Amino acid sequence: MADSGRDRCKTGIAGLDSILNGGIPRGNTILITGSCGTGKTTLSLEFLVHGALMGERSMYISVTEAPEKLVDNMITYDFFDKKLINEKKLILVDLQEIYVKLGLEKLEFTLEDVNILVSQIVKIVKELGIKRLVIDSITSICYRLTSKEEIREFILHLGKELSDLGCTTILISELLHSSEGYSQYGVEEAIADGIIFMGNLERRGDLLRTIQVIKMRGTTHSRAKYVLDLTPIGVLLAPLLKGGSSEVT
Amino acid sequence: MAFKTVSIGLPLLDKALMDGVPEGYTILLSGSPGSGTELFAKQFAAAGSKEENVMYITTTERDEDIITTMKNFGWEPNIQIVNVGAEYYHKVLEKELIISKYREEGIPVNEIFAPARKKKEKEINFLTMITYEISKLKPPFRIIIDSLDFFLNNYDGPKVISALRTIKAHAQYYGGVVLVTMMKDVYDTHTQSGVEQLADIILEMDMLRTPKGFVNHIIIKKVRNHPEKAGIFKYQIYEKGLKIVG
Repeated sequence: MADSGRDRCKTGIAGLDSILNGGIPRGNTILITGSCGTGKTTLSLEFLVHGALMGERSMYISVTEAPEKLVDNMITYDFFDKKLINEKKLILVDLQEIYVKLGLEKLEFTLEDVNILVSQIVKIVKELGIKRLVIDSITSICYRLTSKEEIREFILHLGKELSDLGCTTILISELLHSSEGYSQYGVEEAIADGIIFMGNLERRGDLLRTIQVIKMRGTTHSRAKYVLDLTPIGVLLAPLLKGGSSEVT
Repeated sequence: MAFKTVSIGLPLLDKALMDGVPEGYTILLSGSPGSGTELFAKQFAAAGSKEENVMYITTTERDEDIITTMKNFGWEPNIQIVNVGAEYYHKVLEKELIISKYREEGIPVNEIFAPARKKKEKEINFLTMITYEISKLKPPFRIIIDSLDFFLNNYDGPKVISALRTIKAHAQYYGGVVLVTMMKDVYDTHTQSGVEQLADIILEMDMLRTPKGFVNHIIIKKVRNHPEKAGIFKYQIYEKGLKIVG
């Protein structure tokens, strides 16, 4: 296969790995985007847990929610083992705590603040040997950046440094119903190495979760829309039967 | 009927005012850096230390520096020092030092997971803190605030003026006196005139460079209801403090 050359970071989510021809190309920074309730957090947590189980140290940076709450939510999943957290194979970080320590408790970041934040994240990834990183969400960080240039600088700089460290990164992007394209600010989607779009679809009265790989640098992939099922054994993907369905916006 | 007065600490200046400072009065002492306002403040404190409760609120000096300076001039340091500067260091500056270290070097990995701050640690309002301290003073008292600049730099002008108004009202009610120091010519007119309006007496200390050296002046800019008392006086510094000359 043409793209078999690049090392893959297996998501551990059966359907998704086959869509991606083996997984996310290692070192990529990808955007998982969608409106609320589409399963972004669950999907990315599963990505981390599978990584941790395979011996890749994984880290989840939470911007808006306390990490303890997240653990409570994850306990319902069969694949989750609290030992992963106790043994520090899966590390949860509350970004608000880091904001306080770095004097970033403010509404608007300067370029200097952005660089300090990036260096801090990179420092943690480097020193703890993190191989998989999720930032939930990039939108709430970008909210404090004052211009598209700053957002661009932030994601590019972060993506480059993490890629150099061989860390595969998922940035979660919150999508408002009103936003066009695949990201809130329009900049994120252009810079990311990949975009996975998660949405809602109505079919004969049911609201289905859908997942679609829009782009992924470094691999060929299907661009078809799949149905996503959140089950106790994890995320399941199934081909979408198109009859009688309509997009929910 | 004469006012009940207390001494400002310089006999000739007392005479030029109202044979001292009437009880209940608030004095504003402004000056450029180096003009001697801090020394004046200590001399003023010493003048009350025998018969009044003296509270010395400092924002820049260490307690021991105040006491040593007073002793060097032969003044009894029988005063209560409220050190806002030290408190500010512990509550604010120390944190900022850590933040700037973290910003320069990054947070060490072992400190990432330590809580950033104690739960519900209250942000201290230094204006409230000093008004509270002052409210506990028993008359007769004199209060020295050296200097108002700290508060004007950290809080909005109207808030500082409002706190000053409360302190003044307290002094009026109990017949205490208040001395407030402030830098000259650095604030906007609104703030400046707000503070000046509250003051019953305004003094200014000035240094003039002449070919023979510096000449120091104390200017009486305002004495409430006594515009005729405005005047300019030369002063010098002797081993026993400031003294009006010639």
